[in-house]
Amino acid sequence: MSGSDTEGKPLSKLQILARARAQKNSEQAAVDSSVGSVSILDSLKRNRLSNETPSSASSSSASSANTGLGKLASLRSSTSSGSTKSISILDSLRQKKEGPGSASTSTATLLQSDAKKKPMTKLQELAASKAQRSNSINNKPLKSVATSTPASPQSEKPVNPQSASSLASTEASHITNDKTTPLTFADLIPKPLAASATATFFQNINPISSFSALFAISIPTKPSSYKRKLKELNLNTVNFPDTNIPLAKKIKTNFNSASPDDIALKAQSQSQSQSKQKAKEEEVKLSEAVSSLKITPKSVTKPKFKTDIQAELLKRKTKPNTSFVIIGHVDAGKSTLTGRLLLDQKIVDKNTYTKLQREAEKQGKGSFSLAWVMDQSPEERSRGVTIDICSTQFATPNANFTIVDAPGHRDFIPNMITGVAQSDIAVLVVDSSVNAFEAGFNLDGQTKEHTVLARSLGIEKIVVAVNKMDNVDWSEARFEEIKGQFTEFLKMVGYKEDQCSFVPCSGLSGLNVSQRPQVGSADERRLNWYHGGPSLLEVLEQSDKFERDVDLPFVLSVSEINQSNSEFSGRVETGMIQVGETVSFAPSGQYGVVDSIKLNETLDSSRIAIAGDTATIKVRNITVEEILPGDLMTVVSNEIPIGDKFESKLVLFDLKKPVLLGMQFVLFRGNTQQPAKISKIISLFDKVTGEVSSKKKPKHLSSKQTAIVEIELVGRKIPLQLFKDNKHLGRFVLRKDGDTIGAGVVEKI
Amino acid sequence: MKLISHNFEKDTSGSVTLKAEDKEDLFTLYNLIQKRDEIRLKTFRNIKKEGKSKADKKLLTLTVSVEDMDFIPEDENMRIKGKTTTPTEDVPVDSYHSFEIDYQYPFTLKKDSWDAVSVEVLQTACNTDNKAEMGAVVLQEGVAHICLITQNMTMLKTKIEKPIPKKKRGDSKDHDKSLDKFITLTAETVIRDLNLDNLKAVVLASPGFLARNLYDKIFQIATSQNDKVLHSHKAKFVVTHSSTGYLQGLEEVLKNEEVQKKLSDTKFAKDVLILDEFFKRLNDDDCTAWYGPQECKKAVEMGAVKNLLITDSLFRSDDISKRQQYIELSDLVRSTGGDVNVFSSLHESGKQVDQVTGVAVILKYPVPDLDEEEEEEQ
Repeated sequence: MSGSDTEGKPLSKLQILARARAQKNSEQAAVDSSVGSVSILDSLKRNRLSNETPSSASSSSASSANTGLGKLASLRSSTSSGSTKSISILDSLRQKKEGPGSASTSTATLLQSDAKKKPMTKLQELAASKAQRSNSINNKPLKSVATSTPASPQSEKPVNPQSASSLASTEASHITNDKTTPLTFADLIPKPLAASATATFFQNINPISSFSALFAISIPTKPSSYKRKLKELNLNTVNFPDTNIPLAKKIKTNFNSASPDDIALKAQSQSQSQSKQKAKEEEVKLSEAVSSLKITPKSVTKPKFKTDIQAELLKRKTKPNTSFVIIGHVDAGKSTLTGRLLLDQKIVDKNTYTKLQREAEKQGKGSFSLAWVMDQSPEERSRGVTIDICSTQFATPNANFTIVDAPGHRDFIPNMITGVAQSDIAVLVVDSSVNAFEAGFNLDGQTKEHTVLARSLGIEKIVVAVNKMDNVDWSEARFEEIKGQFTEFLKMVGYKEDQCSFVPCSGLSGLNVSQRPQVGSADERRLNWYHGGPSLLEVLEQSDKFERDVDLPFVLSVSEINQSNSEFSGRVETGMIQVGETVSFAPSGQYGVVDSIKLNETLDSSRIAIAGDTATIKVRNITVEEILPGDLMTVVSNEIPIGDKFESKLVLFDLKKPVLLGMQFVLFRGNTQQPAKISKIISLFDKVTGEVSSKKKPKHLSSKQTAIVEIELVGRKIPLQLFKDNKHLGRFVLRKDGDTIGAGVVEKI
Repeated sequence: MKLISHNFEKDTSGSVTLKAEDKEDLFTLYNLIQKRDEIRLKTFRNIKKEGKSKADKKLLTLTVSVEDMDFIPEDENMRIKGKTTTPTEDVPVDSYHSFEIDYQYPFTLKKDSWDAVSVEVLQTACNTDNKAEMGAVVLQEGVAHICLITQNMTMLKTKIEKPIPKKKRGDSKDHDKSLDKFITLTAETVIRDLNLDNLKAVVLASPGFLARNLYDKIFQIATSQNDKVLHSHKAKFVVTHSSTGYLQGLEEVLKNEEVQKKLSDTKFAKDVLILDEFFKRLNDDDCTAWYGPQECKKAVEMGAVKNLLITDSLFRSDDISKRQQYIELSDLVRSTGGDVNVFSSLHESGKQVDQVTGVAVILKYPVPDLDEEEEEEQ
């Protein structure tokens, strides 16, 4: 008790606070005190009873807890009616036990120790009201009470008021010694905890052993709320003697209301914030206006004509547009085979061909006459190599075909990649002549590289044309030998067996190219072992229809630009476009209305172009010079991200030297090529497990590794498409020093 | 660079008087001059005297303690910033000045310590014999890069880009015509931009036949313009192959045997080969190629190093102790019978060494797990 005496000042602070509280809760308190008409002995008895039957408490159903709390309240009110000292201590002891920091406890303890000096009903009323409050709170979180009740106290000894009292007195003085802290402790304990504490109290009235343990628990757990409470305390407490209640009240109210300074400051800040907000609003308005300024003319326009889209789609289903690229090792006979197909399809008329034949013979290159159908530039003719791709179209009764003749020479692989990028099927031409196949199939030959490129660029069907079979006398053994070797390789690259087919043929003689050999002819006898299998063209016709993403927004990758007419040609990658709609270009950001659409090489004018078509689109009001081949045309409502950095999953092939961060290579995507470098290696996949390897991040990548990397383009930005949005444009291949070093897909922009 | 006089003391301090002659020298100076060095040179300053309204331009000799340097290869500009150490009539002590090194006036550079690398840099710079400049054109259809390769740097002179339409069946006129235009444009630019008198060689490289076409075009122009000087330099031209017309094609060009022969003893050509060997070994993963300061240090201490690849940017380090460390490393390599190759960070090869921490080693024999020991220590 000495503690409370010596620390008179802080205590008085507390009391003022308590009083304020009490006033707040005066009504409740009144109710409480009326309840407390039970005698002390009675309450003690009950307490003991509850101790003897702890199971009921531990089960702590809602009702038991309620009645328990009622007891507490009655106990407190009994002390308030002028109880003996020992009892009051006992009471405080209980409350201490009950509240390792519970709201009511410590306050009450304080008050009771104070009560010994001067009976202060008000304070006790507060105690009661506090208890009441916690009671009302405890009604709710009963479950938490039950669970948080320690099991050990159940086996405690019965209460011994005498011994407890002495102990309690020391403990109580302890608490009061803590000056202000007990109060704050009490206030800041989370309510469920307080509740649990209350429950503990009912279970074991006097578990002396757990006493200190419980006390120890009463350390604040929430420093932030502790601070807040401390602040509140400082605000609410003034050093005035506790007797001067009206003055304290007045002070309290005065301090609770805003000071003149505060009012002035508040008004100032308010006016400031108002003007600030105004400025902000204006800014927002302005920015909205600016952004809308940009958007207004870029609005979506409606198609000019009414088109039956379903009919158009059906037309393309029954007679699909399929494009295929002819690839293979240099001198495998790609251009000759292409020429033969075109000659058979009467795309090249006899007169033109005879003229070509004459010219070729004049230069002593008679066997090149068919290749010259596609290779017209003087450079290509004099050197006898295809340099650039050349595409043309023809139709059979079953399908419309776009045929792309690609160069085989390793120097012109960039051109070949452009060709592959716009095709559905790859026709891989291999020379069946002795040693020729092996030469093309070797490490340095292009057969393998072309196959890998086709696979990396998303070609799903591959037709191997075993060409020049006339050189090996249509030998079945040779055909099977090549087929066997090649199937293995195709599997390694990742093609399934049903994705590949093999056709024996001869481009020069034309046997089994577009037609099967005539029944009964010598040719048929030679191809006896083929059992009347399909010709090359038939295989192409039979190939599965390719699913087009017609539901996605319109995207066309520009490959040809006619500057004088402002016409743009290319393959429609996804979606559809109609005359009258507005299109925009990436990355130049220009937009205009579609004036006309022409389909295919024959330039039939159309009202609509659908994914898979090769279209020439005329766009009005455009600065044509700003658009380069490789740019993307899209419908104006679709935004194409432009960037020079993206994250991708990269698979590396056989490398001659490692790929370092920052080392430059050429990136090929669709028909664009651009120098690029790896700016970051994000993660590396383990070669064996296929999982992200945990090794420290390397600064270089070596052969056959798979990694997630960030690729940075050097020079200009290009429009990018995610792989999941566009199966064609989301892919890319990397080349360095004339070798294909890797392939990947765009995963994040 | 012209060495006019030098005065080295026994305690490795000393001063040299130099005169820069070309941008190559400026880069050398950029590598040579360090912070806290003292430099004494003639420079024009605007001096405003009291009572006069207009400032006079006056040629002064200032002595400055260097605080900052800047080098822009494209502008041939080497700027130095520093604080004056001795007062003159017009300029008080401890005032800040910045100036450019020019080719007109000699200057005196004073260092407290001339280390081995500094002396070597100075010696090579003053040796005019092994100076080699080379022109290079890499091109492909539609893109051409015209570059100048000097001892220490690669400079892009001009980049030509021109879209060329694809050929069409039955009509390739558009394609042929614009390709011819492109080649003519490139040829004219080469003649205009490359000063053939100073060049040891001009390399034309492309995939396919484009480089040969360019060569033909250049001399076709020379013939039509009756340019005898150009004809006299015909032997300097080398037509070779590259896989691409982008700048990265240069790497391939420098590895080409024919080009190597022309450039025989020039340093940067050798550097390219050494770097190539390093990468090859790194790719083979045969434990004879390592990079990283810790790994290299270990290898050097074992005496296993055949070639030490190091970029000049490490020697340029502001941290003197770091610079000293690399100098010691180089000395150690030399004393154990290895070679030290200092790569210029202005060449593509140097940039690549920079990418692998700036220091790398090729070993005489495989040493596995140089990096793993490292981890254990940590």
